Amino acid sequence: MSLTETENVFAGLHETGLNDLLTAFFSARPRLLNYRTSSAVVNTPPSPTAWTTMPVIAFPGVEGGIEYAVQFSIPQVDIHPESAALPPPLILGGGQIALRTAVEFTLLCRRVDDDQKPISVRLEVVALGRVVVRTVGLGTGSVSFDLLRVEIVNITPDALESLIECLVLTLLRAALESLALPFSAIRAGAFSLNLTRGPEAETDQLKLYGSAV
Amino acid sequence: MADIVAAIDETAANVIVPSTIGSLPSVSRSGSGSLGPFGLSWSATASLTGGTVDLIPPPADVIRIAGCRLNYTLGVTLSLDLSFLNFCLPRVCVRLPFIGRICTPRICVTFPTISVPVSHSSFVNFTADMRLATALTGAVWKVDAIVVGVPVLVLGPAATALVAAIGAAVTLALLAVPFIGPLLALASAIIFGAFTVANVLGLLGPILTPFVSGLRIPLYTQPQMFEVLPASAPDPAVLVRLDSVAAALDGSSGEDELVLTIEISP
Amino acid sequence: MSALDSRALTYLDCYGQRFSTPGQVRYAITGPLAARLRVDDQPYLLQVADQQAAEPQQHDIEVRYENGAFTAVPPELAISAGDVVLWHAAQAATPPYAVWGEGEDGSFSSTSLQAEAVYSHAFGSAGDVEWTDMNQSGVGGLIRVHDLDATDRDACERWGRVLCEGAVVVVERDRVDLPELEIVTGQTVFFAVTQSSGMTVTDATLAIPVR
Repeated sequence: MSLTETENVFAGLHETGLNDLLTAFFSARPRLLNYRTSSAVVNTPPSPTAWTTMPVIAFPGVEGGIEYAVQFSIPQVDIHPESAALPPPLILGGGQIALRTAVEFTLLCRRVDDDQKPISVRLEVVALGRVVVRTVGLGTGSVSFDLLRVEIVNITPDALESLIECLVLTLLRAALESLALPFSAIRAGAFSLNLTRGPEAETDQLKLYGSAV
Repeated sequence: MADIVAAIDETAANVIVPSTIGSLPSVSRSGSGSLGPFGLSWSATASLTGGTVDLIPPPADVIRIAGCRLNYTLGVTLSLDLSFLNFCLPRVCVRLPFIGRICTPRICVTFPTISVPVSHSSFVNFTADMRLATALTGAVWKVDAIVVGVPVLVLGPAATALVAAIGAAVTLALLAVPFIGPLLALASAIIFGAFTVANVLGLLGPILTPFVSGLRIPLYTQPQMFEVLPASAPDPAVLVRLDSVAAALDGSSGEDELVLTIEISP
Repeated sequence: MSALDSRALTYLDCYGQRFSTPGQVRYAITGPLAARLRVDDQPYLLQVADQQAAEPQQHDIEVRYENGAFTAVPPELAISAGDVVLWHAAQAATPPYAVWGEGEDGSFSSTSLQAEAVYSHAFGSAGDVEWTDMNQSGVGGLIRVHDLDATDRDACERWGRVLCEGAVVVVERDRVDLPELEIVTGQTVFFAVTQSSGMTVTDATLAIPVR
């Protein structure tokens, strides 16, 4: 079967290339992965521009509110078929992607003696999702990730695992909201196309098909 | 497998390549030469349109463009030395009422060298085979299709048309030369007998062929530091490095395609 | 192209003047504008002797242009009363010029033909040439110039014979004896002015008079 198949233009982004794009994206814009209320919670990375500043969580009786930070590592994507085993019960289905990242929660904990000390926990996260078209126009367009579920292993009891998985899925979907990969990046500036088919996630590639512009 | 693979089939090639050809800027050249015994200077401007693309994978490994049209405008300035027409008016004697016989001296008429501008626009269709060439030049990746060898231009009709244009221009220029009237037919016969369609072919070929033999069609041009996303306040641009670019014609899957394979790094 | 204009003589023109009174004639050869202004010296000399020859003689003076100035060859000439002096330029590159001066008969000028003066012109292009006097005397006429194809030997010989035949137009005051004339390309027309207050023979399309 030819690359273009029944269409006229083909662009295929291998998962290694996709992960290079994600690394470049989040290395240039780390504030999209790092969220904190203040530098008192965590200060690595030290540059203020690497952070998105969040409001404290207000709670009655908690003077100054609850301070926290959430950090994600640069996500890496595995396009169907799976290149590495997924934690059960996750199964990478046809047309799906698996996204791996690590999330670190840090809480600025107040003790009875007014001492504040940050407490962190780092969790490995695997998410299942699909690639969707974000925008499409004549010869242009972009794709993004639609995450469907998250799996974090070894949290007990199960209810706590479910709660944290829901929280992480919510935060991760929000963090990836700003990620829109233009078609031009998927084809590295070659052969503009009007999208007629795809994006398809298969054979470790993100595939776009279309007609010539 | 490469990080990025981009491919087009012949249908897409027949959209992209003619469009690219048509968007190439006009090219101008000038020079001097001769046409029979007459000197000339010329300037030419040419542009390309159209063409039908055939992707021919290895072993031929060429992109064949058939029926591509070279549109050209040629400005030629012919230098015609008309001194071969020089002659002298004889002494003329008359009788005048108050003077009697009076005679003029011999008056020798010298014919100048005239410059005859000729402007001629036409086109010639041609077929050319092109090979892919990839290079990183000045931190820019380029994949061009480059003409292989020297395409043959069928210039017979163009030469015939140019001869007619030269004839019309020379005749017009001669009419303005004093004393040419009785000698016009003779002058024209001598001038037009001094060069043939073959001479004009010999003039046109070297002028027009370089426009085609030097043809480069840009198929891919991107800076090595490729911008994934532009800067958007407060965020900077997102760049990746194009580590390598390769281009090839491939027909192994039953359909002829032009394939680019690109490796990137963050 | 060399236009029909007695005010600005070229190698296709001749200017002739008869001198009937013995004495000295001084004259100059200049550009046409200087001739109208008459401000230059008159370095050339005609010595008109008293005796008259049995037949008026023609004397030719060649006009040359060297080192930015016009010269007469010979610069001095002895003639008899009643003789004609004919000025002409042999070289096609000679710029337009005029001859003007003074003698015992009074002043004379190729830019203002008066008595017993002649202006000749060889016509180089086919077409109708309407000529007129730019000094507004009202005289004028039409010269119809026809081409003749001299490609073959017979036609060439015929043309050669025709070229030897000059045409004459006589102007006396306000009367022109041949107001319309037909010639072939290359033929010479002589405009003989027997009497005038000072006229030019000029292509009517040259509308702006030289002042």
